[in-house]
Amino acid sequence: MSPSQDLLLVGEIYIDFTLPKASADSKLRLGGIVHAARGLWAIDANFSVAAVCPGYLVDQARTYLERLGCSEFIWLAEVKGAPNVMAIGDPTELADQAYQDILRDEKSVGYRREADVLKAFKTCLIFPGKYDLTVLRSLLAENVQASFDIAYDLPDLQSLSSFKGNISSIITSTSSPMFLEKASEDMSSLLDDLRELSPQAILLKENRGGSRVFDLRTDEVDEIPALLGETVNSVGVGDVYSAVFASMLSAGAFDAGWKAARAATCYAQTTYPDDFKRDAQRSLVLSVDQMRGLGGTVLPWHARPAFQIYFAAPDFSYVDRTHLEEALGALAYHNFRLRRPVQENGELNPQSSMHEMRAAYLGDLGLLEECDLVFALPLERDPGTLVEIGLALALKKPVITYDPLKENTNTMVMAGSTVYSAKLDSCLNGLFDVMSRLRATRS
Amino acid sequence: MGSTGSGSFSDYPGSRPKEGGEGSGGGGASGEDRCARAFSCALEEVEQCDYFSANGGVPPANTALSIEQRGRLFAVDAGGQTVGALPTGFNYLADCMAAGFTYEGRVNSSTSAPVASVNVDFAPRTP
Repeated sequence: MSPSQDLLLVGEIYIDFTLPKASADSKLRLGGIVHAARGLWAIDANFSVAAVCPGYLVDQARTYLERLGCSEFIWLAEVKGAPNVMAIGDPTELADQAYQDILRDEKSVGYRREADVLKAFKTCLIFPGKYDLTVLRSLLAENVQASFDIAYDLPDLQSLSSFKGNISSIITSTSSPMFLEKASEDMSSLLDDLRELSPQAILLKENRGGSRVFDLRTDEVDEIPALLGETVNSVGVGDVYSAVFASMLSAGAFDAGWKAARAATCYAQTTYPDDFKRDAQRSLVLSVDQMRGLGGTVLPWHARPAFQIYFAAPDFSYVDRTHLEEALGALAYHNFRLRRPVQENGELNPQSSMHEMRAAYLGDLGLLEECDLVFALPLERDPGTLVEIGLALALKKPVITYDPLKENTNTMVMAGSTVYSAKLDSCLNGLFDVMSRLRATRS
Repeated sequence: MGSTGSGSFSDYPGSRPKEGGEGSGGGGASGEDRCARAFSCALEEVEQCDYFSANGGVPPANTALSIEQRGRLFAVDAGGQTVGALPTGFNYLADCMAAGFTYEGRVNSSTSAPVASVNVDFAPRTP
């Protein structure tokens, strides 16, 4: 068996089906490690695939991957009892993307005999799934160098113990259940646990706030900015990031991170593969020094709660709360610290006395002065919210105005706001950007 | 009831969208290129840039501009003075410029007080 220079992608193949909405058609494409494969295709990297998928999907996956230049397609293990179809509620990750892995509790995986050929590969990127990693380890070469994307489907780090000493990098994200459980407040415990596995580098992807690369050989950390534009579809963006990072790791963890971030950004902004490849190749022409010079948005997960955001909105119990809950859910998902005046200072009613109203006004005003910026949602042209926007502008505090129903297309509101939009996606980007700048100013 | 956009995979590289009833994103390419789009924006860091420092104010409407990468992307006047930085959301233009695109623009409106502000329009020149 001759050794292969290809990066071997190991993991499950899914069908990703983004559910249709009033504002967008449905979207059907191959997912799972196929996203990672698109990333490698876009940068002209050599790769092979060891796929875990149901039998009905093998021919289509093989054909598709061959069109992406996949050198060798190995059907590693068969999924039974489930179709490996992922229904996706929100393709832009405004908040939790509401993935539904259809029939996941009925799923089982059995390795196939073809697996012997894996020993030819020197490097691999493994996306854990419902397959046994200890068995996988026994099928790979003794001296294989493995990277792991552990964002999903890894119950505990113990599952990686059989790879200790053979791990190039470990990649995770702030939306990972393990991260949220172990590192949401403080990274140090998770980092210590990961160090036990002796990887060369750890990559933490922090969504719209950028990412951090920890080079464990030099004990240095690099912050890589996000380049925020309109998100067309964020499904698989993290997989592209991981694949490009793993494929470029031999040139240095930091450079790999900067380039992988660029490729991932391009993937978020189109679902057309040829557009993605063109944009990614253009982007990677820049040197890493040029990329650093351009800057971008850097707002690590753990830095976000240090900023207080005043939530200016008719945040009352008796209104239609659809848009309010949408915004609150998104802000909580991204770990922002919201100050809600109606919650903190109380909700008044038509019978409230002037004394009570004055007390509430002064309480809200004090809160506004304490906050660093304002996220406004002036539903139904709520006069209280519009006054709060005006006060914030007078205090020279940045205002992000989310106006989903376009009820406030007014010069002072639109031009006074740092960002004004009917799209929550744009407002979230604006919030990240403003807070990134505030952070830079503070430091 | 029929179904749309879910009958088969349609995003093969190099493929063309199928006729009729296609879900979004079908085909390999959109036929659009973000580098070839005209755009408008408000410049940033105007008061820290060469023009404001040298002139104590902002350039008037219709001042001709181009874009250069000097670390960040800057709008630059005909004399090479930086007028303001482009918002980082336009960083993709650096990729476009590396691919041979150039951008020519003008000041659409500007004010020096109470806050220095320069709004610009740019159009691409394809390589």
